[in-house]
Amino acid sequence: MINTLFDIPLSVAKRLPGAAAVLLGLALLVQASAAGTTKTVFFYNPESSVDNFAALKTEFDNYLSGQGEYNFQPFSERSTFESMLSDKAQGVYLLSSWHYAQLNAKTPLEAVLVGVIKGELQQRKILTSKDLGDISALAGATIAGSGSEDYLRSQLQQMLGSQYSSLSAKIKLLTVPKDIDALMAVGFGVAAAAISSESSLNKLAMINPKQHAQLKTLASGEKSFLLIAAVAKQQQNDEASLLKVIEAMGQQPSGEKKLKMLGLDGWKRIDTLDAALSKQLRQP
Amino acid sequence: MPNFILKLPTILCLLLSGLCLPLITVASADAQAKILIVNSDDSVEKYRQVKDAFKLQMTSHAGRIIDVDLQQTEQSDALEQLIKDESPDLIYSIGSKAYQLATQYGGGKPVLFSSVINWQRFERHGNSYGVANELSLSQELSLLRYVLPGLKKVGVLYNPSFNMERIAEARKQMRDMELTLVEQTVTENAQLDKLLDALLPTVDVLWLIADPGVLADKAAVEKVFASSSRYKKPVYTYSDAYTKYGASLVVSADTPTMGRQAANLAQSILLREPIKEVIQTPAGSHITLNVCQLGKLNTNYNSDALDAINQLLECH
Repeated sequence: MINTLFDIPLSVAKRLPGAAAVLLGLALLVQASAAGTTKTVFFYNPESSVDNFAALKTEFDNYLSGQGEYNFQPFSERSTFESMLSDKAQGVYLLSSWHYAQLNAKTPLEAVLVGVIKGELQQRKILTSKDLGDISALAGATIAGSGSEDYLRSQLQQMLGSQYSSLSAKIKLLTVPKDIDALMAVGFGVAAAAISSESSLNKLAMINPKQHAQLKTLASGEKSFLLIAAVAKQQQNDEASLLKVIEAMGQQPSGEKKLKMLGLDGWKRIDTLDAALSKQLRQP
Repeated sequence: MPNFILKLPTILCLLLSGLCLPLITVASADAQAKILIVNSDDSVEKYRQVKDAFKLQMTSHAGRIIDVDLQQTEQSDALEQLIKDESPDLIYSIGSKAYQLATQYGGGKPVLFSSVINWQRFERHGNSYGVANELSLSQELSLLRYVLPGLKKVGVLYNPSFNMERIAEARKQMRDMELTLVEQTVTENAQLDKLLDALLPTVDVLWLIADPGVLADKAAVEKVFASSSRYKKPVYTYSDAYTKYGASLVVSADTPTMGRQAANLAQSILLREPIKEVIQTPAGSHITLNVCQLGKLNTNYNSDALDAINQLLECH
C-alpha cells in the first residue's frame, strides 16, 4: 500500500532527531506523490519550537491511515513547507493564523476550519517580566519565547507599538521550546521578560503559584486565531473528504488526543463563525 | 543645507572623541570576533546539536569560527599551539574534557562552556562563563506537577553525602507547589530493597534523581525499577536512558536551547555587556512521556500538556 511508504517505523523515528525525521518523511513523500492517490495533511507551526515531529508523524499517521488513504507530514522549516505549497501539492495545510495571513498574500488559500481549545478560537500573546518596571526598560534585555524568530519579532513589534518600536533592535531573543519554559526562564533570571500566550501564564498559576505571583504583564498583543486548516483555493472540493476526517477528530478520544499534541481539542468550520470573525479569515 | 549641519556629528564626535571611539569599537567587536569551538567529541549527538545551534546563531555575529574536535586532535599540545597561533577572542568549550583543556591553555581568553556535567566540580576563573547541564529544581518539579498533576506524594531516595542541599531545597519548593516530599536516605546500597519496600507503598510517584549513592550500578537501577513496577508506582526521572527500564516521565534540558543560550552569552561577552548570570540554568526543557507505562500503572496524565511533549512512547 502506498501509505506504508510514508510511515517512519516507530523504532526508527524514536532514534531520529526531529529534523532528520522530517527529511526522511519528505523523501518518502516525493516517492509516494509520484505513485498515486494518498492525500496528505501538511503541518508547520512557527508559534511553537517543540521538536516533536517524529511523535506527530507517528501519531497522526496511525490515526489518519485508519480513516482512509491519508497521511501526515510535519515540517520544521518554513521554506520547505512553503515550497511544497507553491508546487500545488494536493492536501490540507495546518498552519498558524499568523502564517496564513502572510502566505495568503502570495498563495491563495481557503481557510476552512479553525482550531478550538476549551471553547476558545483565539489566543492573545503577552509580555511578562519579574524585575522590569515597564516596556521602556527592555533595551538590552533578553526576551524568551517559543516560535520562530520572525514570529517572535512580529509579536514583540506589535506589543511595543510605534512609541517603543526602536527598542526591538536592542532586544535579544532566546528561543525556547515552549511557553512554560519562557515564563520559567524569567523566574530564574535567564531572561528579563517572556512572550507567551495568556493561557500559558494561567497554566503557570496552577503549576507554580509562587513563580506566577512574581510575574507582571508589561504588554498585550491583539487576539489571533489558533491553528487554521486550509486548502488551495482551486482544490476545495477535492479535499472535502480529508477535511471531514480532520473536523471529526475532536469527536473521538483517539482523535482528540492527537489534536491535543497540536494544542487543540477540536475544530470549528469557518462558515459557521460570526460574520465579523469569519471575515478576518476570508480577507485576501 | 548649511555646511555645519552636515558636519555636526563629526564635530561632536571629535569633541567627544574619548566617548565616540570606544562606542564604535564595541559595536563592531562581535562582528569581527574570532571564536574557537572546542568540542570534546563531535560524534556525540548532544554535543553536535549544541554546537550546531550555537553556530547557527553566531555565524552572523562572528568574523570567523574555528571548530576543533578533540577526538581528532591527538595531542593536547596541538590545542595549546592553536590557541597561541589563532588568539581567539572567545573559546566555547563543549563537554568536560574541552572545558578543562580550554581553561588550562586559554590564557586570559574568555572561556564559555556547556554540556559539562556537574560544572561545580571544576575550578572556575573570573573569565569563565557557561550554561549548566541540569535544569533548575523549580522547572523540574513544575513540569512534574504539569504533566502528572494527580500525583501529590513524591518519594525520593538519596544519599545525604551527595544530595542533602538539593533535597532541602526541593522540600521547600514542593511545599509552594502543594506537593509532599517523602524522603528515604540511603547510606548503604545493600539496604536498597528494604528501603524501597518502606518508601514505595507510601507515595504516588518515585522521583529518581542523579545520586551515585543510590544508582551505584546497573543492578541498583534494575532494583529500583523492578520495585516500582511491583508497587505500580510511576518513576519520574532526568534521563531518557531510563525509559528502557520503564520510566514514565523524563524531563531533561533541551540541547539546542543550551547552544542558543551559549550564543547569547558569547555576544554579551564580546560586546562587553554586563552579564547578570555568568553561569546560566538551561532554559529549555525536553519531555518524554511513556504513555504505555502509565497505562500499565493505571495512572492518568494531563492531556492538555501533550503539546509540550517531545517524545511520546506508546505500546507496540
